[in-house]
Amino acid sequence: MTEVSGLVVEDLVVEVHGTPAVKGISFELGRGSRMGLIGESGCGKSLTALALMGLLPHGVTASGRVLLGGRNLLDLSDREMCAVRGNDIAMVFQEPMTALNPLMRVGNQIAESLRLHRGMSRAAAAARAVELIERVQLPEPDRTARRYPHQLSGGQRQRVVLAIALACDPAVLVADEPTTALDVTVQAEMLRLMDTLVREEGASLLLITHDLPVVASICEELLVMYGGTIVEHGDVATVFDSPRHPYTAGLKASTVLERTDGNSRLATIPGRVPALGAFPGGCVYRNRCPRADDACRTVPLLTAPPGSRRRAACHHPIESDQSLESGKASA
Amino acid sequence: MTTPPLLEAVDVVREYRSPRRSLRTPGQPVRALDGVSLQVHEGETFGIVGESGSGKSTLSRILMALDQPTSGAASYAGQRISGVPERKLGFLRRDVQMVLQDPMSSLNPRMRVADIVAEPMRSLRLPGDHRARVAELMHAVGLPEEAVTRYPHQFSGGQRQRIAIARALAAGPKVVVGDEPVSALDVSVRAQILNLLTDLAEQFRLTLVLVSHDLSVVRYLCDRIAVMNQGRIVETGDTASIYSDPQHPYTQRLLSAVPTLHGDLLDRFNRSST
Ligand SMILES: Nc1ncnc2c1ncn2[C@@H]1O[C@H](COP(=O)(O)OP(=O)(O)OP(=O)(O)O)[C@@H](O)[C@H]1O
Ligand SMILES: Nc1ncnc2c1ncn2[C@@H]1O[C@H](COP(=O)(O)OP(=O)(O)O)[C@@H](O)[C@H]1O
Ligand code: SF4
Ligand SMILES: [Mg+2]
Ligand SMILES: [Mg+2]
Repeated sequence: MTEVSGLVVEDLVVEVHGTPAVKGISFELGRGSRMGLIGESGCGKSLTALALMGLLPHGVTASGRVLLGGRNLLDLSDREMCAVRGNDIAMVFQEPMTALNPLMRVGNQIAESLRLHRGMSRAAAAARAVELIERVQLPEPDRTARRYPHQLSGGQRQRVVLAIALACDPAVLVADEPTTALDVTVQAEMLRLMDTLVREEGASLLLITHDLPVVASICEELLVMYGGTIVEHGDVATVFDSPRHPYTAGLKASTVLERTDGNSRLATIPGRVPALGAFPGGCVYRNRCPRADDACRTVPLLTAPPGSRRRAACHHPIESDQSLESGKASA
Repeated sequence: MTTPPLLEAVDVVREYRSPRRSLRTPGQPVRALDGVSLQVHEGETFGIVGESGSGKSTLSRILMALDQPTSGAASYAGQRISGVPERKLGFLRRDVQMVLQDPMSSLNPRMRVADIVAEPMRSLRLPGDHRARVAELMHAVGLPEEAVTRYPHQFSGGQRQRIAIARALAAGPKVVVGDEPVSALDVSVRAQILNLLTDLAEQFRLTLVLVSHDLSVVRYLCDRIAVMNQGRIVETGDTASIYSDPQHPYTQRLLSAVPTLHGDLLDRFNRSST
């Protein structure tokens, strides 16, 4: 494989029929590091992932730079990108069925990727597919290889998708809500497996989810996304301990499901994510933020305080000695 | 407890026959419920927790007489409801309503919100001004009144769940059964809907039965819980005591699945938020 230092995203813009849905985000995923990307649905997480993979749907376009191994993936032709996908960067989706061919035995689906990217012979690819099935801890690898997707449970299918993703030792694995469709007990096993394999392969992981505890258990760094922008970035423990951006604080408060004082209701973020194109000007979070004032009519930059690596895009960030504040439900 | 239970299941067994593998061998019976007894009292918020496939949904359907037990029986307010013909279940249909996980599949896409919400009043032929009642319900669930003229696909997941809740309240039920009502929602929306359910339960003096695999949701909302495993209730009790002192090994395992999943960072995450 080529020397890949990691993934560098610079000023990535994704437009849906001309309306920006991802508005110029930049981040670096170091080699072997594990980054979480969180935010409510409709904030641009999946479009970011699909842009990295060169899998944007019709009418959706990306610009900026996605640098991997010295190349800008956004400049590659479809054919070149097809070679990169699977080989250098691979993806696990929320719904495993979208990634699997219902009419093909799962062993053959894994083997196909190996033959395509590695030029393996049919027999070698088939044997390696069985090994990979064992690697993702599916029972009776030989028999499982001959099954069709519908003959497996949701958790088992997701393992097959993971086997396909890892077949060619990609440098980067992008996982978009990989366990949301699975039940809790299966989720835990799946995450542990993904974590182990990514570590063993030395791959980098971009884990997209709206489940904060999942990120806390797996990732080192955290990106918080809202309205197509990155609103906060830092290492997971610090960001969760003392969020600087009011949106991160709100997400955290709604996740822990703790009764707020007085009326014993849960802390929530007021309102909801606006539709594409309907976010306010200036700070995108302005219409839901308990701290908003006139200063927030201008776009806050994603900056770190002096001497810190923690970036937040807010005119009035929460200082760590201040108590958390978040809106309460108006129901 | 001195008051009689509002909902009761006595020794309920439900077997499904799995599809046959060949012409010769009949399908094996699957015991979805294996001798379940349960009492839910008026005004209580009762949680049913367990892994996928443990029988939670099957039990809740039997408590609503949407499914029949193979043996045993369910009753409502002291009246037997299992094996009773639908035409004699008017009292149950009026008093007990349901909210499901995926509001999209439970809301008719071709009906306007006004008609969706009014539907229980129509089918139960309830007297009164249905339009005024719909307006009142929209307000109660925090939706703008104009929303009544729109269709389900024009709403977000959380708003659709509000519509489903409004519909469930339309006939003025005593009991609302929610089968994973917040499982498909974002964390932020989930907290909003849980607050809404708490508010409404107080406002309308509802008895809530909440089915969920999510322990944090049940812990927040419920006074008592039943823990299910492989078609049986392995433990029932006050939420607080089950969480602080689980007796059954399965309950212990279920509770510990959460911290091992999230590791010490989650502990830190939880601690720093208190
Ligand atoms: N119509 C059916 N035919 C055959 N088997 C069924 C049917 N409905 C449920 N079962 C089986 O009965 C058992 C209990 O199912 P049930 O839907 O009650 O589980 P659950 O606890 O609600 O699970 P989940 O959390 O996944 O919703 C499972 O083994 C299931 O496969
Ligand atoms: N193919 C598409 N066509 C039109 N709008 C889209 C498409 N994909 C995503 N969007 C819109 O772009 C925004 C961001 O979407 P997405 O990246 O899927 O968010 P997330 O993954 O954070 O939930 C949303 O407003 C969504 O409705
Ligand atoms: S910039 Fe203003 S509106 Fe935006 S998050 Fe900060 S305080 Fe809130
Ligand atoms: Mg998404
Ligand atoms: Mg169920």
